[in-house]
Amino acid sequence: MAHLDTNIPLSHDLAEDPNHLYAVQLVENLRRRGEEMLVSLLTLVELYAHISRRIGALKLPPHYARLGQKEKATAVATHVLKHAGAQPVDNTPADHLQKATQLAHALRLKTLDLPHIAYALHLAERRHTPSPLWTEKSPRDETQ
Amino acid sequence: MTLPKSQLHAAVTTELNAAAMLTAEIALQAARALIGAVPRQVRIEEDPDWGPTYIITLDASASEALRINLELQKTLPGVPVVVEWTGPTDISNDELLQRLVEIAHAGGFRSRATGDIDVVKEVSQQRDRWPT
Repeated sequence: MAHLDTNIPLSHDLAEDPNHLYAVQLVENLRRRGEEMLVSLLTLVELYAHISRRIGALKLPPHYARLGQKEKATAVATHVLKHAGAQPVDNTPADHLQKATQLAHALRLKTLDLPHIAYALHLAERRHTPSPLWTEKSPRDETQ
Repeated sequence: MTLPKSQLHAAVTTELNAAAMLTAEIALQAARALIGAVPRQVRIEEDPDWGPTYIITLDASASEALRINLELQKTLPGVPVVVEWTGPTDISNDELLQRLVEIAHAGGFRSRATGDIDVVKEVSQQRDRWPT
């Protein structure tokens, strides 16, 4: 079981992204290992936010022509998850926000990074096995 | 000469896959062979992003048209085929959306980004992490 951070399914789907091949390789590795790939509600929100802001700069499959603008964004988000084989999971955001407050002092990350970590830890506790948070790291992150 | 169905499908698929210059008449015959029914209309639209796109209109309900669209798109990956219908739209908007995603996915069609894109950077900006 693996929690995919928002950029993995997006990079996996968009061949023009500089990390596309890395994301493809990562997803394929997880598939080969039979890992269940999950995304949290927070990831869904980020996914929809990213796609909604970018929708005008995307060339969409011709099959979506009949859809309205809002439905097109939903179709792209659904397609991104389907292509990666990732499943959204029902969870309780309040619990993860509470956990995030407990992690804040130790991790000292930006606000929205904390619920992602809290969610990955939640999965790990549920399965009693280490559950890595799969994310892409841009080389520019190293300098921060 | 009548070809066995499997050979006919193979021939049509080959023709459609090499179909940059496909005529509407050939597309109509191909659709007829693949669907097993006579479409009301087949037209080809030149999509600036996806090339020749085959728009097939059926006298059928939405659910039947979309079922056929999925079958066609599985048979013809990479060839954009859009099936429209003249009958009732007998599915919800949510189901319509899910089916269209399934059809696009079956055909191997995904969104393409235009201009510069850097997902890591953009998602990080959403989290107010990236220096601007």
